[in-house]
Amino acid sequence: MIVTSGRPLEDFEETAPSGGFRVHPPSNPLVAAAGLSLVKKDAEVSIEWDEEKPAPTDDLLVKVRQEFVSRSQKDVAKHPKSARAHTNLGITLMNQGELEEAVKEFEVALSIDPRYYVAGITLAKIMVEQDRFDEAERLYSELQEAFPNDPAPVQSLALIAMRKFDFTNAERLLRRAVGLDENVVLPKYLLAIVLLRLGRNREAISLLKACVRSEVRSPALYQALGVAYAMAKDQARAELNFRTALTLAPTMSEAVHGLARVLIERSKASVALSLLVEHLERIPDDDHARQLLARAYSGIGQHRSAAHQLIQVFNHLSESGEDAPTLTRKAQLASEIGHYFAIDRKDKEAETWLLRAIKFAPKRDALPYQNLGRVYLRGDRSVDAFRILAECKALFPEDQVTYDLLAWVYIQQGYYDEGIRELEPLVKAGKADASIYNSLGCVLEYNGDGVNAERVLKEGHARYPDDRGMIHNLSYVLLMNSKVAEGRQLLEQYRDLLDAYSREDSDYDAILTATWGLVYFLEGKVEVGVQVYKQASKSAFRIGNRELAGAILQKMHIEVAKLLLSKKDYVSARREIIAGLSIKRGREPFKRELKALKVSIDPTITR
Amino acid sequence: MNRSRSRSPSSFRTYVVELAHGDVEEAIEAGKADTEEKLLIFRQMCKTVQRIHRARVVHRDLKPGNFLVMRDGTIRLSDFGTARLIDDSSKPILDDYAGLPPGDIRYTAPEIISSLHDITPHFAFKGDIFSLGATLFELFTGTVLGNQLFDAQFQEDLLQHMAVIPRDKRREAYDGFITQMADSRPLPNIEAYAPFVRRCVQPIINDLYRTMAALDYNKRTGDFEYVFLKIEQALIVLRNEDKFRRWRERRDVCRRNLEQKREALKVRFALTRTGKSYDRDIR
Repeated sequence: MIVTSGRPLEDFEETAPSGGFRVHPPSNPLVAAAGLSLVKKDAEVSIEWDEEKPAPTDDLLVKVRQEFVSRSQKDVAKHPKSARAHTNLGITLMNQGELEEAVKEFEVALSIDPRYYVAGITLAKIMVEQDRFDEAERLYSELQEAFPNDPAPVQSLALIAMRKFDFTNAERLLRRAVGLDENVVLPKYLLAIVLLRLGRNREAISLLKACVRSEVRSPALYQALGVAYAMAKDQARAELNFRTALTLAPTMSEAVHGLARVLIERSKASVALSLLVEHLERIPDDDHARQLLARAYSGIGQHRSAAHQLIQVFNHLSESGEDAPTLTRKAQLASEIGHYFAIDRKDKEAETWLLRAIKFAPKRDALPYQNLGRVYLRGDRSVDAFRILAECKALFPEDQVTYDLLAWVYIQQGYYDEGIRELEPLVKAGKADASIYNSLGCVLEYNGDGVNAERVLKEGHARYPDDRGMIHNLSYVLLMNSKVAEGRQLLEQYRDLLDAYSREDSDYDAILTATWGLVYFLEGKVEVGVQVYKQASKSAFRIGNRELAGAILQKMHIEVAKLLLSKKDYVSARREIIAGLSIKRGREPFKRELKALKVSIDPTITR
Repeated sequence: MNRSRSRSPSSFRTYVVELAHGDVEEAIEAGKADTEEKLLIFRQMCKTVQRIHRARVVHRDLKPGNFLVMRDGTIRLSDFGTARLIDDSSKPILDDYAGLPPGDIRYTAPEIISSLHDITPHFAFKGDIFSLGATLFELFTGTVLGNQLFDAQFQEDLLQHMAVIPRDKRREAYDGFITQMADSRPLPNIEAYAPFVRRCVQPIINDLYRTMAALDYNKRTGDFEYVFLKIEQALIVLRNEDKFRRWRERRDVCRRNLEQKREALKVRFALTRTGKSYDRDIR
């Protein structure tokens, strides 16, 4: 039984999970202007900053705000020459969103007392928020001169450097701030974030550990340490630290998100599920948690529930308008929903959502096109599959998966030469992925060109020696080329690797079992071979993959028929062929081979 | 003693009060008090509030301007306009301030802004403690804590969240909400606003004000003895600063040595165990 490719057609790809780990700096509201998010995509870690939220309109709220402002204004009226009173009014105005008025008050405070620390540093902070980095830098430098032992202006300068993506300068400044006061946690924390961004995870971890020793009860620090461990791929310690953060702050959303992600990655989806359900009962609007809940449901095989969770997020997002970032976000969500429906074999729903994803952002990603192509292929809608994949190929010519899928559209229609023509240029150019080698090997084998299939797969195996699909496919082709000992040796050489993969992927397990059936068969142990084939078919049936179960039985009947034909037992061979042809679900190439055998045998029986 | 007399007809009662030298707000404004004086002032402020609380009276408008400084340096609490006697038979204090809480909102605890005292009057005691914590912060930094803490988003979350919840379910909803708010909004360090406060007592003062002005009333102290103990601790550290500094330096050296020993052990283990690092063995 040959694996269709290293990236099987049924292997619907998942959109990269949105959002990243979120961290909240330990408190110095005068320095850290906004919340930071560490977003990890592939190997890259980026830092994103929170956006300001719009102002509300409720009557009581307006009254409360006025009360805050009027109380502070009374203080100013009582002490008109007080820098402190003006600063307090400035802080009130700033926190009520009246930045222009606040700036005026801080300027008055500084005109009364140029060394009034809070006024200077808060004014600089506003300038940073307004992206007036040069003015802010000037003000921070003045504060640095006035208070040379205070680390806050230095770390604020570092924050500006971080916002300008100048991480080297940020690191230098933060090291200076740490040197000014070993006991202050914030510069160490920020330095750790910069180091994480620079990929120096171990250094970041040791710094955060030092911070935790100084402030043992700060959930924000344990949260950051959890993030650092997660980025260093030490999931066990990451889990421990997220749990500590949650013990100290049981409702800390960021820690819930971080812990859930780590649990999902550690295959503890059911634990993540209960954590997230409890969290969402408290905060039902937490979209990030709901997306993680979808992943947790998917982790325990409940893909439909996963899709429904994401539909809730999608509906929530639909209220946000139609601007470009919202559309991109909608497209990503629709793509994920389509993916979950596709895994759950709800092809109609999958098609609807994947088409929506394409409609919202046609040029964002090849994934919805490819997954839709897979859905069409599975439903024998080759024309639709061809149309959508050709569109995808035109939009994303660099994506090799599309070529792979297009080749399979041809194969499904029996146009093997077209399939080969789609894949061969990539292999010849020397830039083919493992999946392309696999698919080309398969199509050559289906086309009866076992020699070239072996050559291509050997070339692919030399290039990707650990690719499990390739190892299996090469051994299959060797078996089919009557190199039974070589095929068995390859399977045994990589037994541990293949067994590990089998445990992860039930489809692969059934395919590998069937191939062992073929080995026994070709070694002359026919009874054992048939038993093993049937066992493989049963496992495929148990996991709901009826097409694979059928294909394994088709292959078994082909091999038995060939054996009987070699013994000139045409009647029994014909019985086997008819049994093979009677299987409704299976694979087209096997059906074609059975038909060819029947055609070749019929005249002999008639005679 | 200075006395003020009323010129009203004899049928009216005449109140005679001591003339105050100023108030704590003016003392903060003048900025002349050193760390030790501030701690002594705050201890007196707490004692006055402890005294009225023992008499089951809540003040509900505690702020620096309502603590008078007498000529001999003693502190007196004034302005009892919003005060209430609260005992077991007290009825809920239904808010009669047009939706706003009594007193200066900048020093008011979040549960009072959310009108929880309308349901359980005893909340007002912890509300007073919050105001004292906010006053301690202001005493050392000059900054009004409420202005910094209760920003537009906080007010919006607090009021809009509570407005839609029926009175009988409000406390339960508030508890869940405030725990989350407190977790996501740690109280600032005083050194962020006042880098010139003596470093040796910064952690103690931070700890004390954070325990008193905790946003979540469940985590806020109600024990004045604890407050006095902390103040005493700060005063001892302050008066023995040199000794304390030497003690800290010795402690840091010990910590560093311990750290180095742990690192050395890690390396030894890594060498003896076939190149793998067994960090987990070292605790």
